[in-house]
Amino acid sequence: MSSSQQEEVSTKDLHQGYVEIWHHGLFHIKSSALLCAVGLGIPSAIYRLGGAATTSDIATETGVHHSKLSYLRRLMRMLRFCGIFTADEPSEGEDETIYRLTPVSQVLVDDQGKVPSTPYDITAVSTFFSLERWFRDAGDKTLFEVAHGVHPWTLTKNDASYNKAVNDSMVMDSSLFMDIMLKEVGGTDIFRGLTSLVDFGGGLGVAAMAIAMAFPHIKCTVLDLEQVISQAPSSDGTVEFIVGDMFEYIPPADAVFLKLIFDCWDDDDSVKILRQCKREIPATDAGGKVIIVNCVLGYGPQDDVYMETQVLFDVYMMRYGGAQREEHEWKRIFSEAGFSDYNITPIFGFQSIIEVFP
Amino acid sequence: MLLHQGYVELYHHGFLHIKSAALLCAVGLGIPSAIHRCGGEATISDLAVKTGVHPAKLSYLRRLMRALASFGIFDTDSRKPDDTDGSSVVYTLTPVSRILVNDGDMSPLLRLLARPATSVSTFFAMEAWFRDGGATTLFEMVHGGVPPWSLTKNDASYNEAMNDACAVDSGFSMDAMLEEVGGKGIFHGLTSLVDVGGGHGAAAMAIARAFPHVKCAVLDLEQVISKAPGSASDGTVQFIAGDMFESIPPANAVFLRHVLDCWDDDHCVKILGQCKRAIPTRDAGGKVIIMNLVVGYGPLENVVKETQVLFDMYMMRYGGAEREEQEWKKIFLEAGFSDYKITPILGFQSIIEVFP
Repeated sequence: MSSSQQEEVSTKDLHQGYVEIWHHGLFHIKSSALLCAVGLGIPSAIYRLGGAATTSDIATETGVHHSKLSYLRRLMRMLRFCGIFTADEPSEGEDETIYRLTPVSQVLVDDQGKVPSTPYDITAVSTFFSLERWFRDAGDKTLFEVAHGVHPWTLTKNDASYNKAVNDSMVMDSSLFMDIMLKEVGGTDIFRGLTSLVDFGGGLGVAAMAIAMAFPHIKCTVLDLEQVISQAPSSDGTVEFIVGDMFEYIPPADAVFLKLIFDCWDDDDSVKILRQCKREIPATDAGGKVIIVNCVLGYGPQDDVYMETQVLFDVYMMRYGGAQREEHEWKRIFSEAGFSDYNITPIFGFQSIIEVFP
Repeated sequence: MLLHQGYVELYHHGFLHIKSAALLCAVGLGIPSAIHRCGGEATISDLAVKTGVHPAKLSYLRRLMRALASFGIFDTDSRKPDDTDGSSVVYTLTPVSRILVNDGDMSPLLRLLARPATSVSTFFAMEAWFRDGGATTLFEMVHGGVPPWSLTKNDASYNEAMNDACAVDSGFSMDAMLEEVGGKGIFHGLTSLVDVGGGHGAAAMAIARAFPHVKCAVLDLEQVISKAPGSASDGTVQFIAGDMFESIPPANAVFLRHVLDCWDDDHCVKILGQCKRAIPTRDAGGKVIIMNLVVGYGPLENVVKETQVLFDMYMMRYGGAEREEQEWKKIFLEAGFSDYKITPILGFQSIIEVFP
């Protein structure tokens, strides 16, 4: 450092800055290590072993090769220091640490034979390392296109493994998430009084089916692209699946449900989608509404982790040209699309349900 | 509600890679330098003008800066009440962004730690590697069996990235370390020292400058020494080509900085064995001075503890390791040493003196 800069900065600040460069530079490992732990099935293994397990137990239970035991020990140490697991220090005479679950590893336990989701795919991780190039770029390509040379929805059409990775990473597509959400809003008027609902971009139908089961009098339909619907489990009639493009057509219904849709699209496209919705729902007095599940930046517990997760989620959506919005940004697109009012109900800690009225 | 906490933490962890990428982007765009050149405070418009950000990307820059402020990379003052687009927000530097300002900045270190091809993507293969019974390292698995030292020979950009990162890291950490331990008797009383694996001599020269009575030498491989810059052979430090596994030239003390964490226990014991042969007895002032991490030592802040274990994962991909005290003790004893002393430095690192 030049001597003039050194004079301005105290030794304590220098040391702190130095540690933080290492800390920040290595943060990507936290995400990858979590993906690895989930892939190996470590949370589920600890759960199956009664909620407490040594590294050797975990190795046996998960299929980690026995030659990799010392490395697994180090991975568990790292995950423990980062809050994914807790540990009991070995007691007198024992030399193996015992690992237990924390709130985050608890939600990664899968006791129904399905691999639980992590909220990202590997392609997404590599996308962000093109951020600088994209910021300098004059064109209107999204970050994803600059990084990978192709639009994400095109990639899901052409690349089966990427398509699967994206679907798998939809944590909020899990039935567990829907159960929590519906329990939280069960006592409110959000779904009450509806006779029909269209789940826009409803993917594999998990959300629609959960709504249909919680509110059996609501006729639920899922609208999505061909390559998505084709992967949906065969319907037992609870929910109807329609192939289509939400920019072109929406079947009429009392309400349109949009979970994690608007954060994928910029304001212009979001207004287009909202206008389509408005065409197909009845007036507010007749019960018409749009029900949105998304972040409202700044809403929710004012705890650091919650707030930081929301802004991280905002940067995450930048890759598609999307965004997480603050309240006044939501208000602006609602007004532009011709809606008159809205109501925000925080759910799930860092998300919200927004009802929008024509 | 615990379930809420679990889910928010799941998302939080899943997104943490963005922190590495976002900081790398900010440094690449020159944002810390731009704020510094603006006298230490800048708005988004100031930054757009002073960096290479395209005008069409201003709203995205605002969102990136909002995120970076949330991570503690920059500080902000509060927004004016009628400001709907964040244009009045003023950004200032924090300790980490201050040392990323150009002119002696630490950005090459950051670039290596978060380098997509040789760091970030390596970790994607962790699950497959854990299931595999072979002896290949994680790095080799992702790079077609090629270890890092071979890759630096064939890949000029990786070689440059490694050398630049090592140069800034040595420069910063050696000066800071010597200032911190100056009065602690670690280097006092030595007449000679050999820096094993000392590369181009930056560390040895820093020691020679701080303690002019200590005759310093560097031992490293022929292909490394031959590339040492001309000014290095001005007589301050002697360069010796050789292999630390074969023999180490005799000296009062051996200095090992970021060497033992690159090797597994067996290799470390061999290296330490060679060190013991090169130095005199403890009474005659003989010692090995190690500059590395001791996992679990240092301030108990989360940042320090996490950085230490993340660094362990980072070295794991090479087949190396960061060690806790009892792991260090084990290899010292196995190599025939009798005692050791740990002095924490630089927040998360340590100096370990090992006595025969």
